[in-house]
Amino acid sequence: MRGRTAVGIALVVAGAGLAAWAGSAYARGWLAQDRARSEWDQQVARAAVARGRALAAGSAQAEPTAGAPVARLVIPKIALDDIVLEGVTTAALNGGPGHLPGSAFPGGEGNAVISAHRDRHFRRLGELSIGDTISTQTLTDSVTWRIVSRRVVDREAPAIRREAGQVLTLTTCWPIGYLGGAPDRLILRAVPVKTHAAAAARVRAGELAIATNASVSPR
Amino acid sequence: MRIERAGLILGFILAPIASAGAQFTTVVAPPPAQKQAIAMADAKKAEVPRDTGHRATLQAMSAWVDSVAGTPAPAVVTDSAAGEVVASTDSAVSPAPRSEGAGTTRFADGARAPNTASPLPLILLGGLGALLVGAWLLVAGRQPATAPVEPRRRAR
Repeated sequence: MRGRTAVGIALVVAGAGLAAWAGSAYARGWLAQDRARSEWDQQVARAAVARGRALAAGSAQAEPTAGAPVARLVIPKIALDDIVLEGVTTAALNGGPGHLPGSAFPGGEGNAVISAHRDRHFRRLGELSIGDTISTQTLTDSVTWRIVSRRVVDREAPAIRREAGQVLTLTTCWPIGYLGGAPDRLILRAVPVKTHAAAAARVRAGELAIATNASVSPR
Repeated sequence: MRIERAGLILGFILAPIASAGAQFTTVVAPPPAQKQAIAMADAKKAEVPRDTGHRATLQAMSAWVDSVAGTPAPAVVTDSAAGEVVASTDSAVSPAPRSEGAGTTRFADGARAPNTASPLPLILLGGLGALLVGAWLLVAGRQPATAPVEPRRRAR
């Protein structure tokens, strides 16, 4: 009887510890996404001011620091509206979808790669199919994308390619409901349908131009 | 007669001892003049300058032999900064292959998709499972044992 009690206590302690650790990781990720969202709003405001002062040059964007918010990703079909963080490290992916460093930013020339965990931000990514639309917003551009290809590849397969035009690539682990290290990757490729300057930037830049009598006209 | 015999015996005993003593003295004590000669020879050897020309000639001969044989001669470092020279790696050598578990952390043409595998769901489920099983063991252990059945009173 004593042995049974001891095993029970050990299991309760170990189980509570593991569950608490995993739960705290999820909670930290949620808090990080919340922080990123408020920081993103501040960045959008600052970018609008910079645009009003004509300091921003074109759509070129300097490489941000790891973990910094770089874009906003909206996928209406799966009710996803998350802030994309720079980097695909464990910490960055815990806070939100991660932008692969060195790849293009959404709206820029080249392949913009965004990845996320299948048990968090991209848990419904498998519901997307060819033709569905995605919206991205950076500090300079807002782009609406249409998915043109959907494929599942082995995790060791070369899935990231350099592209000539504007391309958005979303990746996550596959199968979605797999427990443990998933053997495959889901790769969605999208091309732009519509590109326009960020609305917030336009409005704020106009306000600033009026206030300062600057000769900068909003895009 | 007795005296003659005793003298003869004494002569036989003393004669080999005297000759042996002469041999021992020559072996134990070397002449001091030999030590001085050795020291002088060493001093003269140190004073003589090294013949660097002889060594250079030998190296040139080695390079010449190697060139004739078709193999490049190894570079001979002769300057004083030789100790600080660090061998550089060949730039044409391909980078070390990445380990299987390492995911892509930077964009490259032909790279694998970033590692988005997460152990959190498995850990969470395992923890909850262990918690439930442990709780069940504790609850089952605390249940009182079935009460002993009282013997029925005999009907009077």
